[in-house]
Amino acid sequence: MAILEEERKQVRRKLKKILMTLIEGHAFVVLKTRNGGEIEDVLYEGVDTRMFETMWIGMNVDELPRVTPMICGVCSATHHVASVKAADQVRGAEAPPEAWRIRYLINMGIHLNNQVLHPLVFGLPDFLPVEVERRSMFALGQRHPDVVKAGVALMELGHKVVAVFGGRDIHPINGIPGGVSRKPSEEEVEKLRSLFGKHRGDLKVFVEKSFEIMLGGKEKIDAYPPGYSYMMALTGPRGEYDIVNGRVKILNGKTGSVEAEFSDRGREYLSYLKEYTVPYSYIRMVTTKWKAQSPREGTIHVSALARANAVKSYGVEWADELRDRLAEEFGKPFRHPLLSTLFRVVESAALYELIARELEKPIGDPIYSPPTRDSGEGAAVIEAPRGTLIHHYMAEEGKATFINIITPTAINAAAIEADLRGFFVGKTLGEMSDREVYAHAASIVRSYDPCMACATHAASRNRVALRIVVADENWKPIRMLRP
Amino acid sequence: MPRLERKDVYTLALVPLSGCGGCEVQALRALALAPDLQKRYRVVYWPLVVEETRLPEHVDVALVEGLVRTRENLEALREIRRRATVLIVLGSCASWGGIGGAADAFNAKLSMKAIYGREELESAEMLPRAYAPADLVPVDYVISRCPPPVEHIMLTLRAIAEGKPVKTADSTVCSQCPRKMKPIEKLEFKPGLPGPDADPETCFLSQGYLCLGSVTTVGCGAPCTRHGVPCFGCGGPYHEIAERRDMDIITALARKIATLAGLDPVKDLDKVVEKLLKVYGARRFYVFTFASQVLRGKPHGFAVKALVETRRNPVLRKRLFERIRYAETGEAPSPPGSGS
Repeated sequence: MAILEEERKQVRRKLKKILMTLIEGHAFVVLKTRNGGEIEDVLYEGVDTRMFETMWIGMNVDELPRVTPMICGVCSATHHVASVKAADQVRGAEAPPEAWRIRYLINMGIHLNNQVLHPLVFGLPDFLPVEVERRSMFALGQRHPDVVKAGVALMELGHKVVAVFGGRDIHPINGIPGGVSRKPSEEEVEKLRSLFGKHRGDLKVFVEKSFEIMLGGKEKIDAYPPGYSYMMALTGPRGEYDIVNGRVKILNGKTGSVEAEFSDRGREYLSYLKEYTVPYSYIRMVTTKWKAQSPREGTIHVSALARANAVKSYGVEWADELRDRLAEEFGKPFRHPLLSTLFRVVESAALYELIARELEKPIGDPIYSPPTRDSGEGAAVIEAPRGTLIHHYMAEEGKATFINIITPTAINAAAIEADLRGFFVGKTLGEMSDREVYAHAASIVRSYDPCMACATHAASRNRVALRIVVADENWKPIRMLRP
Repeated sequence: MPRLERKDVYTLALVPLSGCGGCEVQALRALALAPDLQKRYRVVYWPLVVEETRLPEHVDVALVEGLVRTRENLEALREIRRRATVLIVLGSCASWGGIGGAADAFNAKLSMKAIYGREELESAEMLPRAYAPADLVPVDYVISRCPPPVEHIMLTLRAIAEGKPVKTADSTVCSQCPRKMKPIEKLEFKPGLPGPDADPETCFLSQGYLCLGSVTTVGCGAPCTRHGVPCFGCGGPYHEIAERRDMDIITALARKIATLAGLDPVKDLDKVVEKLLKVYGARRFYVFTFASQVLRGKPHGFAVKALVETRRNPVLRKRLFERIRYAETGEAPSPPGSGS
């Protein structure tokens, strides 16, 4: 039996590889079919790894905050903040409040950038008419030049915040165990302040226009029902919108009620979350620990959508009003995966205001308190733009001994599969055109803004060029679907 | 320079290999912020940005991002080289192997086991080592750094469109760093990061910290040293180190340090190198170039030695086996100092 199974594995791999030599996207959706087209099962696959969890073993643990951002160039700053939060604990350091303010600004800056980037590059082009060829930000720019112009300005603004407080816009370096290395000069902050004064108009255009375009396609959002079981997000101790420190809450995916709560520090997360390796994917999938025997149960959705349900108030009136408007349209709790894109827009409105408020208050001293030990353990849970992110380190005599990183997309992978299954299983391929199948799968997958770079700690954030493979009942690939 | 037929509009493709996407973000910014480039280039393939899954049979200019980690990466790289007139490698991974090359410190199958609990997956086939694309196929331009500055991408694409030569970087990070080099009083190296208490105006080398600025290629604007963090070498080596067979990162740096310390840069070189190796380990000097054939082929083979040392180190092997246990059972090793 074992030999037979081994042979089957080889055949599967060989056939898949033949398909893969065509140069296309790296995120795979495999549709298992029987009786010539009836969809029986769906898999979601990530296809490479860069081995971040082993590469730094034996190296200086203090340098992890500038190594781990390189997991992902899109949200590098958020990895940086998670990394210093974990390294603080390893080194027994208490970062002073002013250092935390700088770290918050780094994370808020990249959140602002990413929450605008997603709608602009992936979310909104999806709402362009299907006949537009090569739908992209550039194509969007031809139809809605104002929204793209405003969006690009906001993205740059987010990157500027990261650059001023993090030292570099991509792969920041300012955070070190114990605090931050430098506080920006008053001139740098003043420059940012005046930019935030200047771009309010752009924010208004971006938010209102995005809402208009996406709510115009409301039936599209309704078309994809949620398939996941839980939602998870970090909030402040009293349910505030807090993306760096607080408590992690796991919500029931149907009712939105809190089912579990755990600390954002230390190894407590291990008691609530379970990681799986599946033979077909380089993403280690994550589910809740208490009710799962396989990555098909206890699936968790993390994203701006989960935050919208977990957070009591964004602390910004306009953002709360926007959320109320969506509650009227779609009801509570918010569950449809495609709503995430709208909540990214809501968050961009909140973040803009929160950053502007922070910039008004001068940054004081101290910004650093020296670490007290060189051996220890630390784990940090924070909110990345795409959802909950976990970094877990151990070190001995200053050298890293254990590194574990769970990214939002790794958590979402099982939820994406569940959503895809919920939509496709039972449908028949012959009843939809290839273009339609592709568009449906892409819409679901893309709504999670899956960062394959993060999830596999590797390449291919091919959120757009998904590869969709049709397979027979033995998972043997039959053909590829093209848009 | 490759022969590119004069045209008003060139086709542009971006092929991502195993990378982080930072380069893609920079390329996207370069195009978004330069309307003139949007007019001169038509994006025909770019999974991140354009809804198009087929790479055209021919493209005028292609950018490649990331390193070669899987067989599919290798095939993609060969295909794009065959189909593109001008091939640009973008970022440190594509130029030098980048941070992904650091994974070569351990046997790939062992790493796989430590992360996934099994040596291989049915998905893409992992190659036994990491490769820098620039080592595998002929490339026309190298835009290094992690991530490459937006302006560098703009300047290169603009020059190519106009048929003009591209300006090359011919200096080190020190030339953009505002810190003052001072003589080293006592040859002693501090292992960690400086923290905000270190002198913000004096060169890190002069203060006894490891800074790779003097051996790293210019162009980033030295943001790290300006923020009180020494250079990490993410831009890749200074061009002389890349071009001259006899020069290596660690020896070039040791020569600088010897000079600053008032030692003889030739006679005392070994002494300084030895000291650097003892405090930081050879691996630390090749964080972004560990996969590069250029650095692995250097005379004294410091990069290769680093590789062998890590793989044979029994303590590190033990760590990997602890990680394997975690991957297999979900049981994290006990925290250090807890009596294990």
